[in-house]
Amino acid sequence: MLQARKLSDISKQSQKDHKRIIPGSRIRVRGEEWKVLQKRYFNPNDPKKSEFEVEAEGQTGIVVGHKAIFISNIDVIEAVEPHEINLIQDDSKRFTHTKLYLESMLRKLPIRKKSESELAKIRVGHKGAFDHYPYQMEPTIKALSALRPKVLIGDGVGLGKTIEIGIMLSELIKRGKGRRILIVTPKAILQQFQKEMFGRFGIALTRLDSNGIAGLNRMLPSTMNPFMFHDRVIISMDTLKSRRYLNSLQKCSWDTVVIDECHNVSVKGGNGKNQRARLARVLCEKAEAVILSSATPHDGTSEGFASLIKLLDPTLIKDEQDYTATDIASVFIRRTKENVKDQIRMNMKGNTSRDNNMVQFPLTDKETEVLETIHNLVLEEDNSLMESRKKGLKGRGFKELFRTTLKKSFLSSPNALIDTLNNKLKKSKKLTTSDRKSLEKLIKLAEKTTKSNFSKYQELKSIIKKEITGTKRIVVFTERIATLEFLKDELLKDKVFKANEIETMCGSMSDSDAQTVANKFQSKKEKVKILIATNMASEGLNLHQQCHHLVHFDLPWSFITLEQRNGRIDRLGQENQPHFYYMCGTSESDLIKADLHIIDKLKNRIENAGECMDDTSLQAGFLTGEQEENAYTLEMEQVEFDIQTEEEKNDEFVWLSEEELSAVSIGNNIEEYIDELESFFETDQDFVRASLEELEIPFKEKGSQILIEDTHSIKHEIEHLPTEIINPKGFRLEFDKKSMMKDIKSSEQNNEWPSSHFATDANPVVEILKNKSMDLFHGADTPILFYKGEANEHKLSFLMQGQLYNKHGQVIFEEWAICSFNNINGNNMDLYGPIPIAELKEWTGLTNSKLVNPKEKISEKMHQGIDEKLTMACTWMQDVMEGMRKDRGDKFRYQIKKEKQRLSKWSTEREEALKGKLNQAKKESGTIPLHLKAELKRIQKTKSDYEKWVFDHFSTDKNPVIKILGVFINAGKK
Amino acid sequence: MGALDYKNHLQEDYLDYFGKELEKVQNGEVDLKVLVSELKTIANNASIKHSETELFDYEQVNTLITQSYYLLDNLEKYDEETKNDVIAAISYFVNEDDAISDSDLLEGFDDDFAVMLAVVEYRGLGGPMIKK
Repeated sequence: MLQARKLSDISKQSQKDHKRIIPGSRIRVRGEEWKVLQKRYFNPNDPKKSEFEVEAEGQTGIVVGHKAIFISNIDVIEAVEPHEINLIQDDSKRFTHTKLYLESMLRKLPIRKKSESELAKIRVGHKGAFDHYPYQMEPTIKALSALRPKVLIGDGVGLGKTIEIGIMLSELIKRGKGRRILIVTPKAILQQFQKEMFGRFGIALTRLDSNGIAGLNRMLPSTMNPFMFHDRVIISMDTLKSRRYLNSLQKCSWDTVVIDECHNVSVKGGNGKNQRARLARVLCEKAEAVILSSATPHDGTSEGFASLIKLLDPTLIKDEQDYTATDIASVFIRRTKENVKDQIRMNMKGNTSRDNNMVQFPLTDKETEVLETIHNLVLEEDNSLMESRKKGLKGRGFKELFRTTLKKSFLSSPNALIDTLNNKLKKSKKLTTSDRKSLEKLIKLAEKTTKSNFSKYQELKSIIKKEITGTKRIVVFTERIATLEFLKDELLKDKVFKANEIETMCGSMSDSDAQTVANKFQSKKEKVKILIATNMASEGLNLHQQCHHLVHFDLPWSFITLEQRNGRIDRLGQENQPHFYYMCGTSESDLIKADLHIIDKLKNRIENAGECMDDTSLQAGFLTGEQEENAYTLEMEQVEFDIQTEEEKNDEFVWLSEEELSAVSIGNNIEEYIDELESFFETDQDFVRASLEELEIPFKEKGSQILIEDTHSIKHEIEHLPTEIINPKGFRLEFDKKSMMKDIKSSEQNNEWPSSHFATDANPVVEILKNKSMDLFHGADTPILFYKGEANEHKLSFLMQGQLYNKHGQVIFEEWAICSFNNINGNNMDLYGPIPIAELKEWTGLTNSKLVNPKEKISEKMHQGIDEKLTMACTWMQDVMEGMRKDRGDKFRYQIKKEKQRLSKWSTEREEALKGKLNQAKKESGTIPLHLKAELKRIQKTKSDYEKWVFDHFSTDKNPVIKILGVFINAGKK
Repeated sequence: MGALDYKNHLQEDYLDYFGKELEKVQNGEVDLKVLVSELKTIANNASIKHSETELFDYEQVNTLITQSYYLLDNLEKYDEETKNDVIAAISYFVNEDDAISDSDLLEGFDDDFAVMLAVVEYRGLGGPMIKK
């Protein structure tokens, strides 16, 4: 009769074994074997630690691959000893099963540095399908050399930040920090980013644009967190910031978070921006690795930039208004084109220097009349703004005079002016009757500036007629939607273009619509010839594949914005000389000379600018287009009205100096920073071919490509892959980098995904093959190789792996070793450990092409002999690991202590800085600002959280996880 | 005389706590038997702490324990002042709440080590600490 077990008995059993139940170890629960992923005590302070839960992954029988959580006082959780294994004789030809098993094990192992102080090396990122520039490796080397890989890449426009992100993601995945990845980008570049990551690096991301999320919501029950369903996701900030997703996001964590164009998430005034900043904090707090990128990360305020740095490491800055480049040097990197011009020039084809054209034309009489009328406009609203400026009153941010707004509108187009005026009349209730009348009069005047009187439009038509011949394409940027619509309508009416040749892009479009337009413009087969866009398209978007002409229909009053726009076609990969047209009207009227003074200034700078227009602006202290434009606006208003306003002081610029940059600069010696991974196979293609053969998955091979047409045997594994990469015709794996780059180029020209998949280590199909090869010996199954060699007959060797897991459940240390017995029945041991993989390959003989599997059967007696030696080998391995663990402690202790001291210094200084501000605020206003009070409280929490993270990350459990990887017995001489 | 002898050898907070221990010794409040029993407890706990993290300096604690035993074994050979300093240093070691709490797995015994070393060096004593 079956007796029900008492809960107390269950608890006792689990308690007995609890010390040996650690992440990575094997356990037996409900008759099956599981691998422990995580262990959590219900009460960490309980000295007996009797109650806990384990998260585990099934290894045997029907639970293989399934995850479950077991609770110690409900289930009997037994630790499985390392010597409890099932020996399976490998009878595959040349022991290919074992070779594949060990190779997959090797490929799936996270790479770790030998010491935390050493500079990290690139292992896989450089294998991506792109042209190498050494500077692109530097952010990754910098980030991976730190305790936590977190970095802000602030490189200038067009230097290939996306490639740099791809390199870093590849390395993070290889280091076990990329199982769950979240990438946040502007909506216009979602698909472009997704394609780049997959095409060049094999990293498959699921795109959750508005359509993607809607699809997911339809598929999943409402109780399920949509962000837990896919592990690698790309999403736009606009979608993500929605309140309905915040809760779901807070409940899940990511190994790596990437925020592209991160200036959009810095802390600024305005609710929308703050909502984004809050969201960024939620995302970055829990992530182990964070990559932020932006060509303009500094929003012009010390606090704004500090908020980005704090996303990476809140313990770097002690005072948001007072910090130096040195304080942030560990997480920040920025290069301009000037910094890396030598590296780029070496690889450029043809003449790719810029052709800048100032297109000057006299304004028509009608246009001059409108501008003069605006100049003479005296509005009540503007007067009161001027008054407050004179008194030095500062509102929230910069506010320009309405008259200036009108000028800027008209300098864009008459339609833009009319649109601005109509909006004002409609929305502003505070307008005085006289102001209202003046504005209505202005509308009537502007309406008289018809198409034929609109000089700039006529000039644009001339440029198009002259330059845009044959298959050439052109991008026209404008600041105003009304101008965009005017251009679209009139170019069509004037038959300059047909309807299918014009595309537009502006901020009001949905992410998927914007993407469709961008794709069309990049596609060679599409008929589109002109893209008219607002500044929404000026960030991150690639428009250079089919286009090398760009018109600034209206000049933004900022070189940073100009450079952002130019960067759309003047970027890495542009094969033609880029031509830029800057359109500006001229006038002899004295009245409006001041208005055009700014245009003159822009014109002079454009004429003198080199390859990089924003450099001078950045050096001058302008950090964003918006800030620069405000400064120019103020300058114009000052010239015009001759008023004395207190000059806005720009915060000191904190970019890194050349010297600080050189701390991570690897120059051209890139080879020194690349470390190729060891492999049992000559090439990746050999590995994939061998695994397909052994797994009996049909395939065809042609040159550097392997085609898997019949995907039936991997259908379960591929069903959750991003739909974009699943081709009904199967998977075409490409192993040659140059061929892949060609494929990417031609796919970009045709607005398609590449026809082949680059077979990097991160490629999902390669990943599936690795998993399946590992399963050739799954769970406790261990291969025995009965080989013929020169050594003693019946020499017995155990190939073992020892791993140390940290408190976060990650493998933090791992070594392989060999324990040999001269004879299966003797006790003479030869020990080799730890053994480098390069030596191990030779020792196993598995890389020898002449290796033969004699396929002789192992006797029962031999099995017994192996069993007897197993425990001895495991005990020895345990001692090896204990020694290694001690050495590790000695190696890292000093470094961790130093980090702890740094944290103490930071918390003391930060507390002092905040207390100073707090006292000052109390003196000035009599109240203590709540945010300062809250921040003061947060300091100790930040310090203790960070200390705990560092301590838990570097502390390992005393019990190593020992695994027998293979048993080798010499069957006698060959 | 007393703790101030160590003014140039110990940082301020270590010196404060050491002074308090010395005062207890001078007042006859320290029982040697209790110290020995506490040393055993520390030895047991050190092993547990080391199993929790390799960042815990097991060797440092072992050195402190063997040094303490060495000094206790030779206690009768020392003059009164040296004896008091030695007992105060061992008392400092066994007392958990000192300048850096001994519960701090990373650097909890750094202050204990510094105090013991200062006494051993200042008084010209031998033991495993000096041999190392």
